[in-house]
Amino acid sequence: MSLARPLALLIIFGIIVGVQRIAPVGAASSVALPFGFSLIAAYLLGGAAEIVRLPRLSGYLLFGLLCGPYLLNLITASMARDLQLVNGLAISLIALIAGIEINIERLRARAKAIALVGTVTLGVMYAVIGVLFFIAWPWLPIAPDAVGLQRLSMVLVLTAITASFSPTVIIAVVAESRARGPLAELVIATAVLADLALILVFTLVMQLARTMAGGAAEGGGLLVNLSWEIFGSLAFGGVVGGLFAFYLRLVGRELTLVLLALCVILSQAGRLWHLEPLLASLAAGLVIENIAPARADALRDAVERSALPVLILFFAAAGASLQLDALAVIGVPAVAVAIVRVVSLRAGASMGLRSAGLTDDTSQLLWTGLVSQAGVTLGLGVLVATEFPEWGRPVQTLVVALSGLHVLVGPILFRNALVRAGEVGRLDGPPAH
Amino acid sequence: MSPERHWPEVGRDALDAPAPPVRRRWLPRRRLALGVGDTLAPSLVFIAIGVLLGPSGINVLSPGILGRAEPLVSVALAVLGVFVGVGTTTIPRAAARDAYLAGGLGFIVTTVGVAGGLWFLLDAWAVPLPIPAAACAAFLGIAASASAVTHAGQSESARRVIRMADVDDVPLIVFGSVAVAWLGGEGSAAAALRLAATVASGAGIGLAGWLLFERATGTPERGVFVTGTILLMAGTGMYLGTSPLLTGFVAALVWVRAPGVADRIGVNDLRVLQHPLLALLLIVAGATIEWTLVVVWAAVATLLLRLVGKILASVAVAPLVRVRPGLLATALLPPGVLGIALAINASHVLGGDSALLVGIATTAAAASEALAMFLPGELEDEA
Repeated sequence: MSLARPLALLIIFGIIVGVQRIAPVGAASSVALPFGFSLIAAYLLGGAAEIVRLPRLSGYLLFGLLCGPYLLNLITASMARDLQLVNGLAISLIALIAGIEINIERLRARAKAIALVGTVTLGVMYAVIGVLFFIAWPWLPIAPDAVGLQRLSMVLVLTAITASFSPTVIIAVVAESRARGPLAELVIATAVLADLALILVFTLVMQLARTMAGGAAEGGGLLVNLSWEIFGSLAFGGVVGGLFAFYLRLVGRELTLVLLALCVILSQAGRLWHLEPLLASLAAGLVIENIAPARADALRDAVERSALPVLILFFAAAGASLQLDALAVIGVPAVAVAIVRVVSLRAGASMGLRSAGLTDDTSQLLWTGLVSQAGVTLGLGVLVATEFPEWGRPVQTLVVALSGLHVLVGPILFRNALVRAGEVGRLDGPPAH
Repeated sequence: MSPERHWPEVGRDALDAPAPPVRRRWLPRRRLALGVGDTLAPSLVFIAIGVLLGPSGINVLSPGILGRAEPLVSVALAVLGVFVGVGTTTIPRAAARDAYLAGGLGFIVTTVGVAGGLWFLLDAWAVPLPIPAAACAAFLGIAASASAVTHAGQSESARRVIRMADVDDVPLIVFGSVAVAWLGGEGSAAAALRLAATVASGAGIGLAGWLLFERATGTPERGVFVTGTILLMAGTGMYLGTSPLLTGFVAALVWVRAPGVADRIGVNDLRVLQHPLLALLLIVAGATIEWTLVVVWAAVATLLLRLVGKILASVAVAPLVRVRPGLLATALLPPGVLGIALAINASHVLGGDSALLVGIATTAAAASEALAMFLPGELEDEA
């Protein structure tokens, strides 16, 4: 094995340690340093993870965790915050990749089955987790004294967040594994469907929690907001995707840069106009693939060039922002909830697949793809903590701990499932029909 | 696996294949960095766009957005440093002595002329400045020394002038970085330590890049290594309170001197980013200009002093480059982007009122560029 890479890694570690020691107090911080360090070092550690048969993504995450503020502190807390800047871009790019890779024709034949699988899986998860939370509430370090409807509203909010999935991580694992096939498509479609359901359910249960807390109800505005978030996102993504498809046809130059600019637009517009960047980017990808299929190869090249660095930074940032102190504080309940979640997920997925008639061995691996939790879950935790500081903060701590556990385990499980299904690396071959 | 088979697009290295000399078409010249023809000074266009979009114009590029562009700006500085580093080492050995002498002498005469004149004027007229007049004058003198030689033509005389212009970027980067570190405060010893750390970091990053680039297993992986390396150069320069120009320059020297094709891989991959990053740099510079009487006054003074400095420098170095001083002065007049880049570097490191330096350097550079458009620059070989 060549020593070049370990040596390069050692040199870069040395430079980072040296720069941190010598840099003047109050020096102009630069986002470029943690970005550069994470990009190379996380990528090299990702390669090391591959040697021990872990997904590269786990290597990127472990890099963030190891070098983050809680352990080696080579990526300080402020650097970790700087790294989060890439999140919006990463979510848009990852969803765009999913949109480009989703084959509508193939999915159409399985649409009913996928909808049934998603509905049953979520239904079982909500029921199991919700009932257990309600029963175990007095022992959870959140608001043990809450009773009746107030407790119910809190349980529903926590259940909605706990049962959520991470389409971003799922799509990232698929993209990084160069995977293509029925399992990858089934997991992505179910996760996207569940994401839509999550937006709906979370908005409703938050409304209930507001009412229980004595806040003003939004009434008819609720439906409008929901519609805007879902249909507005899809429409906006469709328009942006259409414009990009025309750019591909008419100009077709500087694709990597234009693609990154497109992702910035999709993520920033989402933030400004309360749209869901994931949905908007997914819609954009679908439209591009269907309007300009002739230029799809050039686009895939551009995506390939830009996706790798963005994925590395996204997962390194996720690793660096894993709050180990939250795990230390609420570790035992978090592990218990994580076990309940995975068990209910597996049972729900199994029931859903059976009811949809998907009994093949590959489909039975669906649950492995849905274990991961990341950005969306953490974001919902922040929303709850901001709106209901009294009980929302302990909820956020639990959510952070849960996400930490799931994001470490989820990609490993899913990648192994993709390997078992024989779908890894199939993106580089001829398209499956 | 040999580098040639591995990365055919970057070709063989001149150090690996000494004869016949490799035609260096792959090297994107700094003067063509913006990819626009010689008939238009593109920097003027981008600076004007920046002024229009910036806080002095319609404020689309608000101070907040300009602050967020910092990582990209520092990356642009590192990329410029790499191109200068690679460019200066491609001078044929036979011509190197004259080029280095001419470039060094030209730098000294222009810098001393502009800095001395500005210091005298600033001091004599008691211009209110946020930093000491001597420091301000010295910094602007260094920033004004660069020449881009945008329309000299293809003759042998033109090549000699271009070589000289390439070489005079080196002292600008070195002394500019010293000035930025020194202006950063904390005393001379701390500044020297930070400069030494910058050079060591640049060399270390160059070494890491050399170890990684040629051994990459594919284009996406190579892209990760090149992008990460450039980000490290940009970040270390800014963190150490010196200059990404210097880290990029030192790393490029390591790539060129090391065996293999690391320099070509770096340049080849960075070429994609070159145009947009330099355009961004100029747009940010234009948007950063705050139009005050001090800025306009100092910019006019810098323009005139630079003109005089370049004429004097041309007289001094004409025997070395074998071009008539008058023609040489007009060829050396376009300043390019390096002086502006250095000023932006200083304003990012020093913060506060140092944006004044960007305003003066950018306005003076834009005016020099505009003036150069009306002067003949084509150099022909004299019989």
